[in-house]
Amino acid sequence: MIHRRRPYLAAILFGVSAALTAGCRPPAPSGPDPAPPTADAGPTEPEWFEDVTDQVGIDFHQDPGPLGHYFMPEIIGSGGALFDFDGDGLLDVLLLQSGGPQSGSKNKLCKQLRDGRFQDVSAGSGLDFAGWSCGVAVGDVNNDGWPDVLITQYGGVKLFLNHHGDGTFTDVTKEAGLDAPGWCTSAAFFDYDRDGRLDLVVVRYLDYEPSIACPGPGGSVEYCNPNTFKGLAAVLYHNVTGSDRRPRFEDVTGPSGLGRLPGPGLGVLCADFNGDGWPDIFVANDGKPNHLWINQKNGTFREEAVRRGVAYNGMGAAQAGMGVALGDVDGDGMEDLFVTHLGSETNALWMQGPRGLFRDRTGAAGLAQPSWRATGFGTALADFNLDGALDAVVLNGRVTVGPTAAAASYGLGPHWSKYAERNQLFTGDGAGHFRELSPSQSVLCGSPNMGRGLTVGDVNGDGAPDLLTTTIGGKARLLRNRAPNRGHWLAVRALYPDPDRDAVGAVVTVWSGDRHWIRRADPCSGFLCSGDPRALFGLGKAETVDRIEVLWPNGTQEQFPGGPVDRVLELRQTKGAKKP
Amino acid sequence: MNGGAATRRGRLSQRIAAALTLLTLAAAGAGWALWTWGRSPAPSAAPVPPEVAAADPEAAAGFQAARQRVLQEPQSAAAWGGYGQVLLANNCVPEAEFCLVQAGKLDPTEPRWPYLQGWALLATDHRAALQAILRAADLADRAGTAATATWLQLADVYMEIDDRKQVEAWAGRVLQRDPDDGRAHFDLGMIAVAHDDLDVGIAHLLRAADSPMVHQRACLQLAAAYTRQRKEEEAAKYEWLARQAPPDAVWVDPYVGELNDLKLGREARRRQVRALAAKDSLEQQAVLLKRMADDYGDWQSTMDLGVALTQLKQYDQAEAILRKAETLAPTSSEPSYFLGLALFLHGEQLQERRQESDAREKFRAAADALRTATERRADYAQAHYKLGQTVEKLDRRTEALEAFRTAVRCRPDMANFQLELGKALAAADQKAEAAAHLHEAQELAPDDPRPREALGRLDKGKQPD
Repeated sequence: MIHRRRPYLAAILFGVSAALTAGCRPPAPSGPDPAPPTADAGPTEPEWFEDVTDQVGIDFHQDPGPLGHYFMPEIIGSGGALFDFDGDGLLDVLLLQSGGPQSGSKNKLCKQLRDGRFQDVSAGSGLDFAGWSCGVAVGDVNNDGWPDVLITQYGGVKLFLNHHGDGTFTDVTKEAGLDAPGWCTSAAFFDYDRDGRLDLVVVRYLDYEPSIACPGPGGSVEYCNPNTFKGLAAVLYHNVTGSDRRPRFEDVTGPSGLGRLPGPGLGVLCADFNGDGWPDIFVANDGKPNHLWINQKNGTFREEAVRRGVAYNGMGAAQAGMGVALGDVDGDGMEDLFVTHLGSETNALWMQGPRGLFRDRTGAAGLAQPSWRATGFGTALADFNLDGALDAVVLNGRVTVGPTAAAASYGLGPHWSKYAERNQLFTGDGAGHFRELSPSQSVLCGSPNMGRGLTVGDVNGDGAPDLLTTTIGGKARLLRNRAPNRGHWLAVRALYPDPDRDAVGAVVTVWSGDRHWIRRADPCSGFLCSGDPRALFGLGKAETVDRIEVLWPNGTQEQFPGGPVDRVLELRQTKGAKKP
Repeated sequence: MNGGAATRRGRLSQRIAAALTLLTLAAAGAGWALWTWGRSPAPSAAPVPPEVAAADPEAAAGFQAARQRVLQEPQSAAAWGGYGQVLLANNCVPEAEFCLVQAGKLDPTEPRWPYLQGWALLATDHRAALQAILRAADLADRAGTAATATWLQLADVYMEIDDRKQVEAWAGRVLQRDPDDGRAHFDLGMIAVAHDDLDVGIAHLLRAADSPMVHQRACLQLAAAYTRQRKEEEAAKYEWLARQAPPDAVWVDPYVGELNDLKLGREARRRQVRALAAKDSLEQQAVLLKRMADDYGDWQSTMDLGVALTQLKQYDQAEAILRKAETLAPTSSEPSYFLGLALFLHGEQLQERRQESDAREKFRAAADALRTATERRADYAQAHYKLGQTVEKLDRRTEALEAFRTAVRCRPDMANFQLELGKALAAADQKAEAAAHLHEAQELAPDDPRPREALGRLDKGKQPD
């Protein structure tokens, strides 16, 4: 009897247990599965920056123009500059508008006063015009001792001559022979033939037809992918200004070789990439291989990005190159290259070694898996906490609609809230590795924004680099450096004398004990911006400087005596001891 | 007497037991139904597609049909997954992710769903993407199916974070199946080079270069690797090979490839048009474009039809359609450019038929259209170039020279522009400048004999062609 009951017993037991457990599984959620937890970003850090924009009186809201047409220049944004236009030793601010010539939104020039506040001196400056202004480069084009301003536009460039620092600038574009057609983005002044006059490279983006509409998710309209249009080649101008100081340039794009390869270019930096003492040109191209134009010392350039390892990333893919920064992140005396990309890619760190050759070390540097992925634009390698190691900052903001919109409380409006992202900050260890600080930095990284232009400079003269940021459709911000546990510092201004003018591209090496640091005196900020022309050094615990070496842009080298730290030093060519 | 009662009791017990069994089995069945229902979300949770009915009714209908299947079969993994695929194919990523997750829950053995979920997440959440693709690989393993695409995707993901061990593990699995897989060799080569293991890296890249899918990329990376080894000759050789090579063949990830057939509405039609163009099926392309122009009525579709008719040399029809596109887009330079092009080509055809007067009329109309294009967009290099060629036909050489100059200024990288400018300068007796531009054309297009021929005529003092 028992034997015959077993099957029933088994069935009963099964049935009871099944019935009992069936209701235990909770119903599936009705929305998307929650995102996985983000990586642990380490211990909480104090804020490194303080937003002093309102406090110092900078009031600038970027106008991208009327929305709804998905006009591509809107999504690229516009930049700004930190430069001392009046020679009073204080960095002033220039901010660009991109609302279009009919918009009424004009560029803004703000003069820094002795108390640290800024005064709007735009009216009558000559720089206060409405247009599709994009980027800015600053340099003394006629060697009169006053920094001049080049503004790039969707539709050419404009050169403004500084009228001896009196706050007025004259448009000399036509007479200077600058006639770059098309969509011009970033630009840089540099002396490619080492004749003491600043030449000019202007990077151009796309052969763009604004009437073409591009599809977005589900058949909606979106900003066009750059692959929709052909890229444009950069333009190179040779400075032939004479002793009359009337700026004149010759378009040498064709003979130089730069005209042979189109972009689309967004970022640019000029530096000696192969260690031969002559400046080369790096162009970050959007979605296409980057270009590294190596100076052949005869007025021509040869493109060598593939051979030197900076055309593609470590996976052999071309990425969307936007912002560019150069700096010695591992203390080996050779500058490394950092370029920002789309959120679906990683930003790339190419480390130099041996000299002139670069390798993608993004993953090994700890930069491949940040707390959040974002589309990076303006970027900088600078020593914010003055510990002797370069840190990295990235301004972010998408170019296509994101999966989730930023909360209404951020005040971005219904359009830009779908594109906004949070900025990022990484602290370097001086040996080529970075640790992310972004989650703990609410001032710089807490709020999503449409981050674009980034400029670094010591605005308040305390030795610590500050940040000037621009955003699409948002406020420009001045972020004062408040990094804790700061080390010692030195700010070096490398000058050509008679009259004093910045020796753009000078490479300064500071020695203290068995340590040394190299920095370039170059205002070019890589993407649409121009910054502090001085070489800013964090020296960590070093309490004195043993010596300083300057490799001048014309190839000569001089050594200067060291001295105390925590000061601004002006070094003039021919006043040092010549190095063979 | 006792045996009968015992039998009756026994039968009663059996009946009670059977009844209890049936009851508990029914309870189990109800429990299972409850469990299954608990696993799948309510049908109404199926994401609502984007509102595109006005702009693209066909796309709207496609979304609705896919969603409807979910509403009708809420416990079907195929329904949820299919909707997810449609959403993903049409760039509705967050909505797609939700559907793919549900599909994965309903059919936890199908690797397709976590794979596509991971693929979609690569752009936003690398860690979650990696977990999802690992799950897909695991499911494929359990099913005993080779998942080459999944393994290669994992190798790529790990390469991005510089995890050499994992790259070697996953690429190694691919090579176990196919020792000649170019993509796997490429990944192994790249990770070795990244870790300064140049000899190993070069060996893999050389194998990769044999594959049409990664030939060009491998050659480029070999140029860099040999430069690192200071082997300049080898570096130059592979850089040259890379420049001569056609673009790498497109490798279609099977799961992602399925999405191509799921594009909806206007995008699906555009894809068909591109596929026909690639096969040179101009007539079929024109039929499809006519339907699009009729259905959508926008200037771009109309213009595309005009361009197709131009390619078919149906110039009168092309002109009419392109003029219509011009009126639909009065500020755009594109329809005017293509109208100018169609008129120019028609003019050349009439010239070949020795209908000189009619040809000149077409060239005059072409010049007007191209001028309009350059007025609407001052840096439209192609329009300036074509304008130059057109007014040359009308013997307006000064105007042609200026047009070519502008074209070169805007696009100095275009060999044809440099060639035409060089020839125009030569005709205007500006020999030194002509030679510079002809040399530039030669640099830009070393296999084109025309710059060399033009330089030869210049040297001999002859007129250019």
